[in-house]
Amino acid sequence: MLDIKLIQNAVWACGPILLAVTAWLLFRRRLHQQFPWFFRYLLFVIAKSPFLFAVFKVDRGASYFYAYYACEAVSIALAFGVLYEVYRNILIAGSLAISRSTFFSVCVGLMMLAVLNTLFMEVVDDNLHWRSVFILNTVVRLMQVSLLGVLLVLTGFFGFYWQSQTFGIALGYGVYATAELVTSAVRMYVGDSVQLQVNLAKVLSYQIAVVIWISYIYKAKTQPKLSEVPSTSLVDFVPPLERLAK
Amino acid sequence: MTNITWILIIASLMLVVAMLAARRHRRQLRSLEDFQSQWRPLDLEAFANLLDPTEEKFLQENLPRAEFRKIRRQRLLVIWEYVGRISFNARLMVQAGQIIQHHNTGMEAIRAQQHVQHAMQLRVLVFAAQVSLVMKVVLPGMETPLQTLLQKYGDIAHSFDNVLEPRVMQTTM
Repeated sequence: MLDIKLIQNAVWACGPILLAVTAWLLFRRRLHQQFPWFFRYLLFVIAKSPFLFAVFKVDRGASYFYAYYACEAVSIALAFGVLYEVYRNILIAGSLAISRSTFFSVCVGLMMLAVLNTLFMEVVDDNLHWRSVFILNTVVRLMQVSLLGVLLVLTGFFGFYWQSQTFGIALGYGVYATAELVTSAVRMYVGDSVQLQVNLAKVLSYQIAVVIWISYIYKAKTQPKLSEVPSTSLVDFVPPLERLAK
Repeated sequence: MTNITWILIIASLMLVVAMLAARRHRRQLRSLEDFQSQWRPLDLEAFANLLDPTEEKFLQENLPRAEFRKIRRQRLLVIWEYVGRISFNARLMVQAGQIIQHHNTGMEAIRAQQHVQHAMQLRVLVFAAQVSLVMKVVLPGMETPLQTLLQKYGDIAHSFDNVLEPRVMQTTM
């Protein structure tokens, strides 16, 4: 019989190593200047593990609970910075303007929709702390998944170009945020009987995200060779389209 | 449906979308040759003829009703194909322009930026045309509310002329 806790701990232990590799690759390719928020996020998550381990050794109760969720809050805040960076990288000058205030407004709008969705959720847990944590987690993950979803829809419509490393960051984080959303919802609906499986799924999905980041950052060596605007005339298309649209 | 069902549906959709996005990402432009091979050729004269209202009127007056409806349907299908090609080419232009913006500075980046803007505007116009086309099929006699939209895009045709002409601008890059 598989020991889920052992597997979870083994997978978790690989985390800081893989994250360190990601941060090193980012630094080596000088991409930390292009993605400063992502670099800060990686460094924070690397530092978080030993800190939480130390707190856990001292006090497994309330101190660890508050330290863990305080670190989670900072991680999530940094993750929104990463998503903003992804948006800025794709919606560059000339396409859709995305300032910090615009991004913040979009986040607030998505948050309202996410809160509306969670208001009707059934939560099995009677403990108020856990209920609050699960609901907050669901709201945040719904926002993050929706942000990526909006960007994908816009890309499908307009055909935006995604640099390899930008795509990798978005894909990795998207996989992780989606997994967090699902596990959180399942945990709320089913109860603590699936806590071990939920924890393993979360840890595994995060490592998959990190592996995706490593592979796309590593592949980001070759750049496309396009140095000037291809000579096609867009103006010819407009009159027939205008006539069709009448 | 319960909320957890909705969340599971959203999550499944996101994973499918992520897989499609990864596949699409592999087919992004890498070179001018890629651009040329992916570009979908279009006979603009034939397209303009298809949209000529006098031609449609002539067919309507000279063909039996059933025959006219059949030919009209075929024409609409061909128009749909043409519009689809313009849409694809517009997205290609956006991608090409953004690649140049990422890897160039100065005048070339500015030209690329204008190119991207115009290509995006064209893409929106294509969408409006597609909506109008669908409305014409579903409700042939109905007036479409696109006149206001056309007014907004009335100056695109004039500004497009500047896209391919070099412009002297001062930059601080």
